Amino acid sequence: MAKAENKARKPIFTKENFANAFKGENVARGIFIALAAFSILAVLAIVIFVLAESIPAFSEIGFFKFLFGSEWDPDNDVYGILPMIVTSIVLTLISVTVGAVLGIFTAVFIVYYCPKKLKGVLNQLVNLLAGIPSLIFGYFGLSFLNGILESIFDVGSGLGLLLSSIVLSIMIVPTITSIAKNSLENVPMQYYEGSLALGNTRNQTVWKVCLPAAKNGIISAIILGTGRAIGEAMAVRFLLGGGTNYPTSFFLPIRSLTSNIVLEFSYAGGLHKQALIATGLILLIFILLINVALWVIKKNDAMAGNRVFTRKFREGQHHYRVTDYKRTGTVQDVLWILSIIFTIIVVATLLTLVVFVIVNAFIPNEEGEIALSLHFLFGKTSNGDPTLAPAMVNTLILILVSLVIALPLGVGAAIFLNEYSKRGSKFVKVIRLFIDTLAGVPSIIFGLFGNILLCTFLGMDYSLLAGGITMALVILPTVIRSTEQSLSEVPDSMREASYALGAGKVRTIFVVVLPQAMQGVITSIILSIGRIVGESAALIFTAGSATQMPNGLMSPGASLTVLMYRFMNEGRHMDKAYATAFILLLLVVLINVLVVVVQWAFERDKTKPLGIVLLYNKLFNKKKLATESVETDGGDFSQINVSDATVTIQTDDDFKAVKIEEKEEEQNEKD
Amino acid sequence: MKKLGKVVAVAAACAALTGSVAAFSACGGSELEINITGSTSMEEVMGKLADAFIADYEEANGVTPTINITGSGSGAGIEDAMEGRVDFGMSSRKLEGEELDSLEYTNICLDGIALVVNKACSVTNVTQAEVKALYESGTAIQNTIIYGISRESGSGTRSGFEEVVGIKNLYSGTGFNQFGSTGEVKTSIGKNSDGNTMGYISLGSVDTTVKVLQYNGVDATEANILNGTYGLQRPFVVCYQSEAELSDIAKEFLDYIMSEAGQAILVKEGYISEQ
Repeated sequence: MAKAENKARKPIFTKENFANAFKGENVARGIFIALAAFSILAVLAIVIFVLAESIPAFSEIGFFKFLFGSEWDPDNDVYGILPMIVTSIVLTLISVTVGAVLGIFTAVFIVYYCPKKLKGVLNQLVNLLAGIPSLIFGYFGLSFLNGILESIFDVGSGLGLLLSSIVLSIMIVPTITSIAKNSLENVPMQYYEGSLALGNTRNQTVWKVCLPAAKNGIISAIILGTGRAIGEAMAVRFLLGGGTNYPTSFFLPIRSLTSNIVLEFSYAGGLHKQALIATGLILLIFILLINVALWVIKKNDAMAGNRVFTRKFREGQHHYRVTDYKRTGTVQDVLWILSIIFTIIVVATLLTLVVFVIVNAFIPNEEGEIALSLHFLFGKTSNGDPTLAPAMVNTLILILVSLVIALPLGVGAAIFLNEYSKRGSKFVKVIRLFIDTLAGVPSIIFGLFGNILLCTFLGMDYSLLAGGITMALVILPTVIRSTEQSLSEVPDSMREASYALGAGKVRTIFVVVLPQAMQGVITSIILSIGRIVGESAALIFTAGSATQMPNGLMSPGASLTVLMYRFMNEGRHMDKAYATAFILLLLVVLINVLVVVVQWAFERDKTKPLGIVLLYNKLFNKKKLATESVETDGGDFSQINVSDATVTIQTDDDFKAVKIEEKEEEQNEKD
Repeated sequence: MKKLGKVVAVAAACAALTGSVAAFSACGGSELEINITGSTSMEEVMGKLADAFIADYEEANGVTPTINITGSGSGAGIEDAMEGRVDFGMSSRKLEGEELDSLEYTNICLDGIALVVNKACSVTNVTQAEVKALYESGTAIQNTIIYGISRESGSGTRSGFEEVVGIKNLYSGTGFNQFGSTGEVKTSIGKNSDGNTMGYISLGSVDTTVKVLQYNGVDATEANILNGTYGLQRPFVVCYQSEAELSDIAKEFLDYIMSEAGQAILVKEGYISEQ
């Protein structure tokens, strides 16, 4: 009898439960769940809208005729995207092969062979390469590499498969390098030491033991690089040539799925527009397939577990011995030398790019003026003489709008995933899957989505608001991942101590956990700002490319990169395009410096005074700080010098008084 | 106190963030804003017209209007005008078919299409048959010009060119690239020091970086366009949903373009006024 009673379920909709729902803790929990679920909503919305707009195209053109048709001729209503699919696949295969080789060898060099002093520099260079906007790569390829290819191969035009593959491989190297580097550093020390103990040389250990051990991470790196390559729109738009051929030669003008959309979307209408959106859907399907492959690989990752009891391969834990470098004549030694060569190639390419951008910005145009002037940066803009001032205002507005939207959503979702969810619950797995998918969607799809939903359906037209909302979706995965990472690094003992003192969950999160995770949040903000500054494909179709000062959130406005795209597209103000590229590069460097500064500010030893303060005192004050030696004169009172004051303690028996004087002038006079 | 300071700082930052966003949204779309998109051939001269109009308006009324001009291609401008996203669409070709049903338009001037080559090229005159053969099958012109570059399919200049020359299918081999704007074509020809590539751009956009060819023995001049002997010509069209729905400032701008002052600017820039 009692068992049956126990098994009877308690009803859900009781008054008590209803009252409980509005308790502070439960309300907060509900809010966080909602914020986390938003990312699911976002991905679903994108897929649904793109699907909804493509279905009319499929029904009118015919799905297989569309997918396997060889001719793309909108003027005669012929829509076949097979040449574009083939181009995208071939382009991605070539660039990923080249990029993966370069990237993995560079990663191995940085982790295992790099001298300590060079490591920081190389890391920063890779980060710099990662932050450069794709449009600048397109411009570099168009203005520099194109000419080189034309002279080497003696063709009329270097645009086509070869040029785009070269530029795309350079673009995906930083993605592959940083992830491969991470997984190589996570290989347990035992592998390395054990292999050496068995008599292997260092090269054999690195290439035959450690690299295969990091296999899963390296394959994920390659897959993420593939996702980036196939989704790249802006760089290839200028470099592929714009024709609709199959990629049978290196120099035929061709189009990829992405460049097709960019070239034609602005003037497409009716069935043509729907066909382009259908092209976007095919692209999205490719990306989803790539994400599924990534998910399958990650499931089998044995290296991800057991972080506590294995030592990781960190810098400085291995010792360089002469015997390490003894030539054994094996394949691994060749690989070692190759890794050095490839790293040099990557660094040289980056330096060429930087030098090229800088030099071109200072070349005078036909009228003998240098475009990079204070007037160009901050002066009043006009249609005949556009300046950067409105673009800077536009970029700032876009950053503000996207952060206001994405920060609460992202931090809330991260808090839910880390604090509220049960490990391994299905809901969490689904949310993570959707966040990773959102991270992999190419920005051109975000542009299409923003254009269809915000500009046309909701009637916002080209406006900064539409651009801001679209960018919020783009930066959302970065914010969530970065915040989640730092939240997970806050030790559980903190939380437990807070609960033990009687604090509730919400108070613990906001008072104890979140302040400690601040570094991750701030880093994600800075990286998101960098992403927004460099974004072009998503913004062209949502925020427009107007060059005048905006009148409010509903005005169209070009951000800095969109303005550069506009200059390059018009072909009239190439000197201004070069100057804008230079400013963009400066901003990327500034953002990377900010990330390093934030990292330093949070991780420094706060018990020691800042080096600058020490320097200042040494130069100007000659006072001893509290941590330095203490002067005590003998006699009736003790005198201790503490920073700018002198504390006098009168040790009379009658009274003890503490007199504090500012001894500044006396001190200076003494000196 | 330190903690209070932190809380105040965070609150102030949030308030500033949201406040600035709100402030921007509060000053909504100005009454004095005109948005124009369309032909890249027309973009530059519209910019000059806009600047002159703004200067006049400022003097007369003390307020500065904003005129946004974006060169995204004639097709894009027509599309934007039909969807009501912009005040004016610029088109460098005649409107046709469905477009005439939903849009009203004004021809602001005539423009020629110039066939351009690099100054290093020795050719001076091309016939219609030669141009057609080059663009349709890649046949070299006078053994010197072997590549013919083109514009994207939404381009008004391309529509005009293909209609007059009679090109049905564009040849798409190496070197027969398609570019997205007049400016890009001009830059590409300017860099073609081998002198083996031909392109077509708006006559008004021609400058000292390129050389203009004779077409069927006729020079590309204003007189020849007006009397019709230079066949490669098309109107510059400003289109809009309906004249009645135009905002006051937009109407004033259109009137300015058709006025003496506006037409004088057009003529000065190398276009042909029909007035």
